[in-house]
Amino acid sequence: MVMFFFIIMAVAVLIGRLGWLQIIRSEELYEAAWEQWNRSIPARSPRGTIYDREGRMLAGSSTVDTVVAIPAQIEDPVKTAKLLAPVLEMKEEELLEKLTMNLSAIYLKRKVTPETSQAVRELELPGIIFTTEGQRFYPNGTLASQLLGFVGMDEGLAGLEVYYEEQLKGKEGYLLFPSDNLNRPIPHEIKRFVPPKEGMDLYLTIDETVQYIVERELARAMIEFQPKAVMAIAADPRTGAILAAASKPDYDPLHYEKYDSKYWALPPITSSFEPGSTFKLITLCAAVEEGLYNEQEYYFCRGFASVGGHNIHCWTGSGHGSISYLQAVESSCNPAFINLGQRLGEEKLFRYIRAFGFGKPTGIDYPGESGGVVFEDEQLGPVELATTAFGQGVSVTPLQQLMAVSAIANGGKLMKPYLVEKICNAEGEVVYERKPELVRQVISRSTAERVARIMESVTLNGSGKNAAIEGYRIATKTGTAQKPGPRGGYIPGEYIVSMIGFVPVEDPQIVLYVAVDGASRGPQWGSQLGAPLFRRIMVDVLNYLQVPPSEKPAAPAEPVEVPELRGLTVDEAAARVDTAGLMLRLIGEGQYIVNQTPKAGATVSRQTQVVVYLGDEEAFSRSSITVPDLSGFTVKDVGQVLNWLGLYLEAEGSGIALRQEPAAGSRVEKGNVIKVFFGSPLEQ
Amino acid sequence: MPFLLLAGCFLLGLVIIAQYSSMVSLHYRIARAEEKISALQEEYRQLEQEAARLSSLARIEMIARSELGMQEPESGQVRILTAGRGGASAAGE
Repeated sequence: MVMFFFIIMAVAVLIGRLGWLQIIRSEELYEAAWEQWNRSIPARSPRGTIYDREGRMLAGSSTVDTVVAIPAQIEDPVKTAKLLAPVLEMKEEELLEKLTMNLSAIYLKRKVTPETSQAVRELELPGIIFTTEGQRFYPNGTLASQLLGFVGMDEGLAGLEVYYEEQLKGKEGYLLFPSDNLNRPIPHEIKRFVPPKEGMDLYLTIDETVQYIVERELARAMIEFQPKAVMAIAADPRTGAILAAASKPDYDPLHYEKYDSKYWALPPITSSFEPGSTFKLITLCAAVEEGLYNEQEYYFCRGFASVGGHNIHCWTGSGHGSISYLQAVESSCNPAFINLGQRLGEEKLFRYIRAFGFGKPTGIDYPGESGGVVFEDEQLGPVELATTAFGQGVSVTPLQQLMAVSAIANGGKLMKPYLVEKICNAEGEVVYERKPELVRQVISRSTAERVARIMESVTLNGSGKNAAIEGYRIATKTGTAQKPGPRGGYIPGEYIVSMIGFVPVEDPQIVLYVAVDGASRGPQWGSQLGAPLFRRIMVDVLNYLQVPPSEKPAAPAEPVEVPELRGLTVDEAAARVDTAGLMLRLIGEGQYIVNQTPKAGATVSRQTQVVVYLGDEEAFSRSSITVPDLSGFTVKDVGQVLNWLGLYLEAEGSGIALRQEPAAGSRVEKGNVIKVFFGSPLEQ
Repeated sequence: MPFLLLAGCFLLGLVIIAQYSSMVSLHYRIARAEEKISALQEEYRQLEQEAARLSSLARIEMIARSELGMQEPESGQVRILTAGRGGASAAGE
C-alpha cells in the first residue's frame, strides 16, 4: 500500500515536471535550444594582436555582429525584407533575393554597428540571426600605419597584417549537426562542436615611443620644410632589429580606402632611389679595407674630374682646392671619391657594394621590399665606376643603407634586418622567437672602427655639424641626391636630402636614416634639412632609451657670431649660415633677405635657427600687408616677424605654429591681429 | 516479491531519468558559463583596447600641452652638466 502511494506520487511528480518544462518554460527552453542549433554558422575567431617590443598594443581586435539569414526558417520573406531594408540600409529587392536563396545560411550585412545590431534584434524576425566577427582596432590612430598595414573584411591587405596573415588570422570554429530535407537541424541528435582557434600575437622589434618620436619629427619637418615627402628608419646596429620606420604623408588604417594606394607602402623599405653622398661610405670602407686610403694624404679638387672624356662635377662649382682625404669626407668632395673609386677599380668596388647587400632585397619580413639596382658587370665602364663611387647611378633603399652603416657601427657585420621579435599563441606560449642573423662579415673590425672615427669627424668638422648633440660622440654622413625625371636625366632643383649615422661612436646603439624629398622651403642641403631632423629624433631617442653619454665627448662647440644676412639671396645666406654652424629658416616671399633674427653680431650657440624675412625694400613700410605663412615657427619667431610687419600676435597653445587666421596670402592692414594656433605637429 | 522487483526497477528508472535531467541542466549551465566567459573575454579585449587608446603618446602629449600647459624647453633653457669622470649629463634641445 505504501509502495503504491509512492509510485502514484512519483508519477505525479513526473507529470508535473513534464508540464513545467513543456508548458511553462517551453518558450525559454526553445530559445536556448534554437541558439544552439544556430551555432552552425562559422564563428570567426579574433585576429591576433600586434604589440611593440615592450608589449604595448599597436593593433587589436574586438568582435562585432554580422547579420545572417537562414532562408529555410524565414516565414515571410517579403515582409522580412521590407522590415530589414531601412535598418540595414539595403535595397528591399537585394534583401529579398538573399532571403530566398537556396542556401543553409547567408550573410545579409557584415560587421554592423552595435546600434544596427540592436535594432535588428528588436524586430524579432524568425530566421534572422547573428554571428560575431573580428573588427580591427588601432589604438594609436595613424601611428605606424604603413608598417602595420590594414585588414579588409576577411584578411590582411597591407604591411605586417598581410605578411603575417597566416599567424594572425586564427582558425574558424564550426558546429556539425544532421539536418532534414528542409535544411532544418534534427533536434536531439549529437552535434560536434569545433571551437574557433584564436590568432597568434606578434611582438615587434618596433618601440612605440621611438616610433612616436620619429613620426612627430617627420610631421614637423613636413610643416617646416614643406617637402613632397619625408621618411626615417632606425635600428639597433648590433642585431638588425628595426626600432622605427615611417614616412609622411601616410594614411589612416581604418579608412585606408580613402587614400591613394601609393601611401600604403613604407618607402624606407619599399622605395629605392639614388643615395647621393651617403653612399661614399661604401667606397670609403672598400678603400680603407684594401689599404688604399690615407687620411693625411692630399688631393687637389679642381671642381670636376675628367673621366672617359666627360667632366664630372663636384657639388661646389669652384672646387675644394687642396684638401686632405679626411677633409674630402668631411666636405663630401666628389672628385676625391672618384679617385678612390679608380684606385679600387670596377671589380673590387662592386664586390664590396654587393657584399654590403646592395642590389638585392635584404629579406626583411615586410611585403614588397625593393632590391634596388646596381650596374651589372657588363655595363661597367669608367664613367659608371666614377659615378657609383660617389653615389650616382645606383639605386638603393634606405633599409639597405641602414644595414650597411650598421655594419660600420658594429665592427663589420652585415646583419639581416627584422620586424617581428616573437610570436605567441592565444595561451601566451612563445611559438617562435627571432635570433639576430649575421649575413656576412663585410669589412674587418679595424676598418669599421676607422670609418666610424672618420664619420665622427664629419659631425665635428663637416656637413654633420648641425647633428651634433652635446655629451655624445656621433658618427654621421649627409647626402643630397638628384631625382631622375620621367624622361631620363634629372629634375632640376629637386633633391632628396638625407642623413645617416649612429650613436654613440664607442658603443653604437642606434643607427638612424632620415630623408627629406623635394623640400620647397629652405636650402636643400643635408646639413640644413637632414641634420636637424636627424638630431631632433636622436636627442629624444637617446633620452628615452637612457643611453649614457660618452666618456670622452668632444668639447662643447664654441658659441658663434650671427653673420649679417640682410641684402643677401637665400643661396648666399645659406652658405654663410652653414659655415657658421647655424641653421637658416625662411619666411615670406621674395628675392632678398630684408631682416633677420637673431641680429647680426649676436653671439649664439651652434645649431641656432636664424629666421630671415624675404621680401623687397618696402616690405616693412607698406600699410597693406600680405600675411606670410607662419606654420612651423615658434611663438618667439612668429612674434618677432609679425612685429617687423606691424602686426599683432594672438597666440593659442604651445609648440609650433599649425594654423593661422587670416590664412597665409590674405591681405591685411597694419595694426591688425593675426591669430595663430600652436601645438604638436601630429595634431595637424 | 515480484512486486518489490518491479518497484525496484521503477526506482532505478527514476534515478536514471533524474540523472539525465540533471545532466541536461548541467549542460545548459556549462553553455551559460561558456557564454559568460566569452562575454568577459570580449569585455577584457575592449578594456585592453581602451587602455591602449588612452595611453597613446599623441593623447598624452596633447594633454601635457593643452591641460597641463607643458612645453619643450627652448635652446637657452637647457644646461648640460658633467659631473666627475664622464659623469651624468643629458641630451637637450
